[in-house]
Amino acid sequence: MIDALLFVVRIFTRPYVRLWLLALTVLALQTTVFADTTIAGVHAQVMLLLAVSCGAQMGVDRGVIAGFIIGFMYDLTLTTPFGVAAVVLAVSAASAGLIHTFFMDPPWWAKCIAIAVASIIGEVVFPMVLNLVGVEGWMNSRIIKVSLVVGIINLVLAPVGLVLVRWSMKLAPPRTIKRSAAIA
Amino acid sequence: MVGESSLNYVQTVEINKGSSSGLRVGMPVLNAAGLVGKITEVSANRSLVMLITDPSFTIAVKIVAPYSEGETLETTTTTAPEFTTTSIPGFEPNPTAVTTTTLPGQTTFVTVPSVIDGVQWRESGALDGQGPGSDPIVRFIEDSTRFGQIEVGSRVMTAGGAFSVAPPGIVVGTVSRVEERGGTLGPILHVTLTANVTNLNFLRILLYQPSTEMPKP
Repeated sequence: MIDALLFVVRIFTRPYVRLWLLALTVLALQTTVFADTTIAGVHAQVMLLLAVSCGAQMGVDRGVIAGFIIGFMYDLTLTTPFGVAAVVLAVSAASAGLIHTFFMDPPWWAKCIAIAVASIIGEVVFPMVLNLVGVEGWMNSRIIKVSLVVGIINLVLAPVGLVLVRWSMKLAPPRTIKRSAAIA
Repeated sequence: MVGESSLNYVQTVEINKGSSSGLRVGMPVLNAAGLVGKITEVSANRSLVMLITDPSFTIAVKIVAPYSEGETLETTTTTAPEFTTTSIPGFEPNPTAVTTTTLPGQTTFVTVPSVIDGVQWRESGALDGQGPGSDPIVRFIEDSTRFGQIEVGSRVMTAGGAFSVAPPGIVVGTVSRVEERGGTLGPILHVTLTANVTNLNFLRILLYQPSTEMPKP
C-alpha cells in the first residue's frame, strides 16, 4: 500500500508531469476566469504565457515540445481547427527560447522581454495560421491591438510564469553573482 | 448564456441548453432586440453559438425601406413577424422587437411589421461578420436601380429561403453606411446591429430548420 502510494507520489513529482498538472490548472483559469474578463476588449492568454515561459526558461528545443503539448491541451477546449493552437504555441515558445542564443545565462528581465515579444508573435501568428487552414476574416488591423494588449499583460505576468515553470521543471534557481565575487 | 470563448479570434458563446431541449446545429439565436447568431455545436445540455460578428458568420438578408413615421410607436407593445412554418412540433413563434433608445434613460419600442410581404423589398445580399468592434457588412447587392438607391437607415432582415438557417423577417439591424464600388460589383452596406452582442445574458433559440433539413416522410 505504502509502495503504491510512493509510486504515485514519485510519478506526480516528475518534472513533465508537474508541468502537465500546472498546464491543466492554467487551462482551467483560461477557460473560466480569463474567458469572462477582458482588458480593452482583449482576453488575456495565460496558456500562451505558460508556453512562452517554458521557452524562455528551457530554450528552443525543450520549449517547442512544452509549447506544442500546452497548445494541444488548449486545442481540446477551442472551436478552431484542431492543432492550430498547438502549432502557434510551439512557434511562440521557440521564439521565446531564442533568448538563449543571445545570452549564455539570460537575466530575468531579458526573459520577461522575450516572453512579451514571443506573446506578440503568438497573437500575430494565430490569425495567420487560421487563415492558412481556411478560417478567414481575422487578418485585419485588430491584430495590432490584440497582440499589443496580450504582450503587455504577459510582460506583467512574466515573472510569475518564470517562477512557475522553474518550480514545475525543477530547474536550478538563477545564479546570483555576488558583487565581491564578480570583482574578484 | 454560461460562457464565452477565451480566444481573441473566435466569437462564440456557450448556452446551457442542448439537444435534450430540441436544439439542433444551425438554429438561429435571438435576443429581445434581434438576431444574435446561430448554433454551431450541440451536446446534450450545452450548445455553442457563433455570434453574428464572427467573420465566419454568413446569412442571407433583405434590405427594406427605412421606418416610416407611422411605424414608430411610443407604446411598449410589440408584434412579431409571422414566421414561416417549422418542422418542430409544438413550436410557437416568440415576439421579436426592435429597441431604440431616444433619450437617456427613456426607451421606446418600434413595431416590427407583422406582414413582411407588405413591406417594400429592395435588395437581397449576404451579411458577413467582421469581428468584434466592427459592423457586419452586406455584400452581393445587385447594382441596379430597380428598387432605387439604398438609404442609410434601411432595415436589414433575414431573407429566409430553403437553404437559409433562419426564417424570413428576423430583424438584424439598420444600414449605417453605403460604400459604393465601381463597375458591376455593387455597393457594400455597413450594418449597425440592433442586438448588442457584447453584453448577452438570456438568449432565445428559434426552433427552426430550413426545409432542406426537414426529415423526409
